[in-house]
Amino acid sequence: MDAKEVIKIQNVTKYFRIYHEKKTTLVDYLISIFSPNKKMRDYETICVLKNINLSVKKGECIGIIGRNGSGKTTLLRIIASIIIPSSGRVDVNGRILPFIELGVGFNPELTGKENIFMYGSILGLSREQIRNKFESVIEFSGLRNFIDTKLKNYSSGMQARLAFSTALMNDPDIVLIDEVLAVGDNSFQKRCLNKMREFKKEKKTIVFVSHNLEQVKSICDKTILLDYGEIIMSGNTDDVISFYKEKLFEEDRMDFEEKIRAEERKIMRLEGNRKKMQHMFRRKLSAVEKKHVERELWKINNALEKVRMENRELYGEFKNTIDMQINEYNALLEENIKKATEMKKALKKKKRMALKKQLVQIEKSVSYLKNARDKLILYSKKMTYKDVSQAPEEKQKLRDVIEQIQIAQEDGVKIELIKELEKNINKLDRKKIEKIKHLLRQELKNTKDMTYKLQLTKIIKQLILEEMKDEQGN
Amino acid sequence: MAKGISRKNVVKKDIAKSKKTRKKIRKQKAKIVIPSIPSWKSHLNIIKEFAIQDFKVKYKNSIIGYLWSLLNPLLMLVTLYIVFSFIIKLEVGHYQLFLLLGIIIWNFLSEATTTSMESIISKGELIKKINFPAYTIIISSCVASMITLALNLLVFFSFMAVFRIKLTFAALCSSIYLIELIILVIGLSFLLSGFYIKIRDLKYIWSFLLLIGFWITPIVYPETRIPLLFRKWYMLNPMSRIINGSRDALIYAFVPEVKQILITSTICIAIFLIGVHFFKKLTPYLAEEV
Repeated sequence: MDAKEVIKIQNVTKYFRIYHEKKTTLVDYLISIFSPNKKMRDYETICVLKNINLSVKKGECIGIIGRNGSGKTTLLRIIASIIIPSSGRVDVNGRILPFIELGVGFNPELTGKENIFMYGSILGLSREQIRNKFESVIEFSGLRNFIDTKLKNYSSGMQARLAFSTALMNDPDIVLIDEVLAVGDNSFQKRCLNKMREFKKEKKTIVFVSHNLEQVKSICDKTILLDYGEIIMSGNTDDVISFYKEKLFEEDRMDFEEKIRAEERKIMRLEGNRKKMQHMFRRKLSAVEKKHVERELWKINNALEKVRMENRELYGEFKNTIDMQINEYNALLEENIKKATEMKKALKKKKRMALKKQLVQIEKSVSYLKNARDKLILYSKKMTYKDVSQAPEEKQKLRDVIEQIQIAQEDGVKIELIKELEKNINKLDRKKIEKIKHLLRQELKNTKDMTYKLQLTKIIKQLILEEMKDEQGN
Repeated sequence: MAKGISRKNVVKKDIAKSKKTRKKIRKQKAKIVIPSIPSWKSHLNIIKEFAIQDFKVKYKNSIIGYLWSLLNPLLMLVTLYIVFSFIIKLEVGHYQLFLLLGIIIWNFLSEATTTSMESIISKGELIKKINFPAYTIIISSCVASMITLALNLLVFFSFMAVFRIKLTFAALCSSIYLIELIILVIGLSFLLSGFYIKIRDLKYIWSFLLLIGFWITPIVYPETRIPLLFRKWYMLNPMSRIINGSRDALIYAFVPEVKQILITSTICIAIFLIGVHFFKKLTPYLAEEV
């Protein structure tokens, strides 16, 4: 371990046992030996941290981010030596102040003053030392009037302030913070952050775990991304945070696509059901059966409408997230472009290798951001709500119409169907036009009705005209 | 190099189900090197603060307050004296003092052990969040009950003055028994609180055992009542040795034999070492078990 390194973690892994049913009494132990139920006997070991290597130098401020359950708190606890790792080595050189939870060891039956003394003794201070720092603690917390009341009667904000100010009594070399600054109102959080900055000036090492990415940006120089117990990325805060956000966004996107696929499947299923119901109408049905079929059709239509509404909402929500991401990318782009121009100016005056390297990095990130932004814009255009199902709906209508013309035996029905065809002539393909022509010519031969024949000839002429248009267009 | 966050549940891959891997995991030893000097003074401070706190909290909310700690043995004394000198006649000299000393010592044992079991669970939350020596919790609860013991002993000595029994040299020897008692009680509380974390039934089992123990140790009757056949095994019980010996020394002015003292001290020290060893082994894993 170097002289400057304050924390060094080598190949630390940690396994936790999860019992399916925790055995806490003697009776449970006895039952578990004899039970046929495997759950009582078995446990699973989960790997919470896997091969972690970390080294922190004096005066550095490291941030740890990751999702819930990725092992951040266990890492902190291992550094604070509250938990022992299953394998690996941890070296810590200095006095630790763990901020893993505020108000640890506070007894609500005792007054604030007594609790301060108690907490001070836990931290390792003697009574005299506590007395010396008593004044500063009261000042920082702003609770001079309430020191002699029992802790039961404090509000949660007051408790948090008291806890924070008592924890600062100990002059630590290393500070471990675990999502503690999320508690409390704005002024309290500002005070905490200012205190962190003071610590930074005094060159104390800070290890900061939080979900609030802005706070992490403002304080930390270096950050680490944890996911399922592994370190995925470590480096500059800006890079890591943008990487993290991207990955979260990608996951949102994949969730969204899955949802949409599920909904489309629903729609297809419902449409299939609807087709079946409509085919039932061809047969000669009794009145009761007709009613039943109509009711089912009504239900299916309602369900279809619902699903489409949900689909529309999903698309709308997701568009918002895409827009936010695009705005962020734009903001980052502007920052980086500014930096690049400044650096170019500085380079013109003096040539330095370090500046050149930084310029190269910034230009890389600029191009990367541009690519990502353009991809996103294309994606958003692709995933607009299309009313995907209406096009096939119309196609199916026409198919149904054609089939019904073949099947129907009364002329009156046929005439109505042919009127529907006339409306939708524009949307027919070539193949369909040929089909329909074939149909209509056959019927011309078969029928003897003059009016019907006139109508049919009209439609055939229109179809031929359309074919001519298509050929001219092509 | 940055890896992508995999969407697959990596947890499934790392569940070690086979026995071999479980054995491997247990065998891999971990090292933690924190070159901080164990500051005994700070630990003493913690013990002090906790003991004072426990004592205050115990008696702040009850009406009679801390006089109850004095009244409890006295009331027991009165009832047992009435039963065993008028209803069932045991002829023992200075029966009041005989009873009182036994009751006081037994109360110390039961109080210390049960409060240490409770305290390790109630203060277990502390252990989970701060690097904190866990043994101080147990020692502080023992110290709190030692305070009640001291107060009760004052009452006992005032009784002795009332019955006009002089303090002889033998009485000084009873201080050895006091030391042995303290060692025994601390060792027992380490053992019991260590087991209590895993088996929460122990509280009830232990109260039952204490009840039986009260009648097995010669508190109410003298040990001469036990037939000689069983007396050897009967006197292996360290509490019976301590109570007997301290009674002989204080009330009957009987200088204790060196052999007897050595035997009791070995038993007490053995229990103490077992308890401390067991608790030491447990402390690294306390944060997960509590």
